[in-house]
Amino acid sequence: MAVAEDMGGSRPPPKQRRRIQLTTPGIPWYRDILVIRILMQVAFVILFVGGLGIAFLSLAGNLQESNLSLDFNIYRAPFTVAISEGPSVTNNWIWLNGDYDTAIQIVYTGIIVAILGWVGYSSYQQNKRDELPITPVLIGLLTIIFVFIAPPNEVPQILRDHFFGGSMLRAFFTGIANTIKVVVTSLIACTILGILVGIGLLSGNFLVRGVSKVFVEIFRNTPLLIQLLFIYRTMTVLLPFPRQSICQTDGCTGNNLIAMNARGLWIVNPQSTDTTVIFFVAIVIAIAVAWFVRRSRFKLQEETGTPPKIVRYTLPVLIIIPLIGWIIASVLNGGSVFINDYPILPESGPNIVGGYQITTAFFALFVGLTLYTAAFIAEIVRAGIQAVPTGQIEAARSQGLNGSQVLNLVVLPQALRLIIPPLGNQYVNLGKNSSLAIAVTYFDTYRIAQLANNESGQAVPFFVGLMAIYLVLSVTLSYLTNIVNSATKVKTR
Amino acid sequence: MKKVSFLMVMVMALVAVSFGAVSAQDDGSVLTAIQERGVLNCGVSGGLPGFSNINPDTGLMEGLDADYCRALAVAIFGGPFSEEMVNFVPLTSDVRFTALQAGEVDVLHRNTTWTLTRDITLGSDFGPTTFYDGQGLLVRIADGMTTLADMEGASFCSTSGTTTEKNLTDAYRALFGSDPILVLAAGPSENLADFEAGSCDVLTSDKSQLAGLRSVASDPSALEVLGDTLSKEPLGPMYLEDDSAFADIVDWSVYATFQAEEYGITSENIGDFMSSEDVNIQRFLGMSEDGYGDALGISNSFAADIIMAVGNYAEIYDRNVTPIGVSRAGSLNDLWTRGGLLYSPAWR
Repeated sequence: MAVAEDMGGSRPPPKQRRRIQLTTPGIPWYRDILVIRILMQVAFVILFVGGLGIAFLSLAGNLQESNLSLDFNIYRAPFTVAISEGPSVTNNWIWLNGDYDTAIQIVYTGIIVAILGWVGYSSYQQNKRDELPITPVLIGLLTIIFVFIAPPNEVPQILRDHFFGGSMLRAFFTGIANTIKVVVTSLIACTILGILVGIGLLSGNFLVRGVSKVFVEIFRNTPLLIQLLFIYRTMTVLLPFPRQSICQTDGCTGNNLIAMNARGLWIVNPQSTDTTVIFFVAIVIAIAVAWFVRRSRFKLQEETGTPPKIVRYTLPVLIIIPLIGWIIASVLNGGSVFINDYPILPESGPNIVGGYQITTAFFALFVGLTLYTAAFIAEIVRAGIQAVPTGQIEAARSQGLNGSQVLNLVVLPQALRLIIPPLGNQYVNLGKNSSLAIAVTYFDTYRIAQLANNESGQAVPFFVGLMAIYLVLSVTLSYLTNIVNSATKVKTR
Repeated sequence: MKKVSFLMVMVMALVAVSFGAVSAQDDGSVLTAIQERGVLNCGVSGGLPGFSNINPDTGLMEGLDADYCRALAVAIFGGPFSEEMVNFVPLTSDVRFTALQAGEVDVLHRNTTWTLTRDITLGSDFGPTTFYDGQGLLVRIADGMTTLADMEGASFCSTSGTTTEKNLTDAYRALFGSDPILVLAAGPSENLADFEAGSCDVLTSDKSQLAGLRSVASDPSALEVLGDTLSKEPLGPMYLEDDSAFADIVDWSVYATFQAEEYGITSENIGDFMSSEDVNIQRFLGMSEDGYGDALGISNSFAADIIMAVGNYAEIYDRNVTPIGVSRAGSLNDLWTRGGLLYSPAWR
């Protein structure tokens, strides 16, 4: 409280300024700090927006002169190259067929109302704190302008005009889906691998430490592009042609659980049946019960000091309940919960059919991004752990905790607070590095933008869109990291 | 206040920068810019045997496209030709048009297909076709595929940023009603690496390119370019729109090689033709007062310079394209007098 008062000391007391009284008695208005502040803000906004506008117009003029178009309507042009990875580009989305128009309008109106509600609420809050609610008001104005451009009753048609099957926008969405697929899977894998290697760097075992060190130094100190090319080329050269695929049945002609060749890895793809839902419900129930068990064990620990032993108590729950669900489902359905779609190599034909395919391109990119980012994360984890004072570890040891308890209960919780902020940077890097997919024939957003550019010859709109997409991706990743960061930081008042 | 004024300065700087860029392009012809620069920036593929490929022994760019770059340079700067006149800029398919639009290169001699969409949307024009090609399919003979109709479910390697992936998608959809599996790479050599590793069953590209790639494959006898032709691929020079002065020189430097072959003038026997009695040949070679160079704003003897530098079309073809295994006799690339499509407008 004392600090806050000091900071506000140079300003007039809040209660008086909240009246709609722009001038302070006795001071001419042009010397009143509040008036000057508002005028300067307005002048700055005008200058800034005007400057940006002039810059944009002049840029557009220059581009026009160089025969480069800035027409964003090109996103509505048809996209005619087949994309063999990710959601279909050509099929029309079912919610665009007219039956869902009312629902779309309701959702859209709801979003607009929610934004305007937020604007009103935060303006009120900021006003109460004696701040000028500039950001909310600007967002509110932009929203209102946006509603005039796209009124609710026209939104379904606007969506239909842009997202029809085979449009450039649809191709971009497929690209974005592919980018998200590789970023999310690599993000999870590199975090797990990075933490393991990071702990390995501090291991007392010479071999573990040495291997971790070599891993980190190799992958941290060579360019990612070269790693990707190396992984991709090695995989395609070492793996056999499709007719000589590797799988567990003879000649691959039977029902394989797994099959592999230069074009990818196929795994059995279980298709749901009428009773599969019972099995899934059992899993949900199991998780809920396990959560309650966990909570009661923690409560018991708080009250009596008994070690919670979470795994020992929740694991049986997590196994038995889904098993019961499985048995019920299979009895009801006459034997099988899932119908398996097996990868099979047909008698004649170029490649394996059926199953779920993980393409070599995706796998190479996933492996490359994971190893590269994990090497950096390992160093961050090592640094975070080493920053925990030795006294903490010694104290924990003197309490009789064993090695893994020291790590899990004392070191990692403290190290986590130091690890998470730089970890966020690595996640953002991972997102941006995914654009190197171009080297391994993966259809990511950047590849789609290039194909679209080639088809229309208009580089600028697509590259502007590309920058916007990666900007949103990176900002989202750092926002999520910030949420985790504020959840784990030391709570202070 | 200090913060605000700093931001203002930044805004001003931004405005100043964007205004400063207005003079990016001169209003004059590309020709003037080239003559002032003293060197022609010619966009080529750079990794395509037969069209533009660096000879590892000499370090020189060799190929049909490369020779047309040389022909244009010697036409603009006058003979005799020297390698300093041309700066070969290797471009991938993806960046070639942007490079031309942004003025990074003056002209593209980069096996670029002349299509209506490109002509209209890219702000550029095409010159006379220097090579009539068609999209073909390269397969392994052992796979037993003889036509596109056998290829349901196959994977296709193709170069990203070309017309080939689009043609193939269209043809495949028309045949099978579904999408083909495409393995797109940045260039022909990456395509070949993917193809040889088994990433795809079929390599699709222009037939001349396929012949070139087959010739450098590890076992050419196991591969075959199928008879199917998926599309017309007329390849030729490309330059910016609305620049007739430069466009005329590009066009007529190409026509000069056609006309020279028609007259029977080669780089070896041109000395004999210098003293020819025929007034048409005299004008063509710039031996008489009423030559054609003046009208184009270049040397009167530009056709003779071109022939001395790179030879006529037959010489260019035999030197570059015949070695990769694409024969000329009876093809579209033969002279019109022998049933081909190469035909120069009248030199009058």
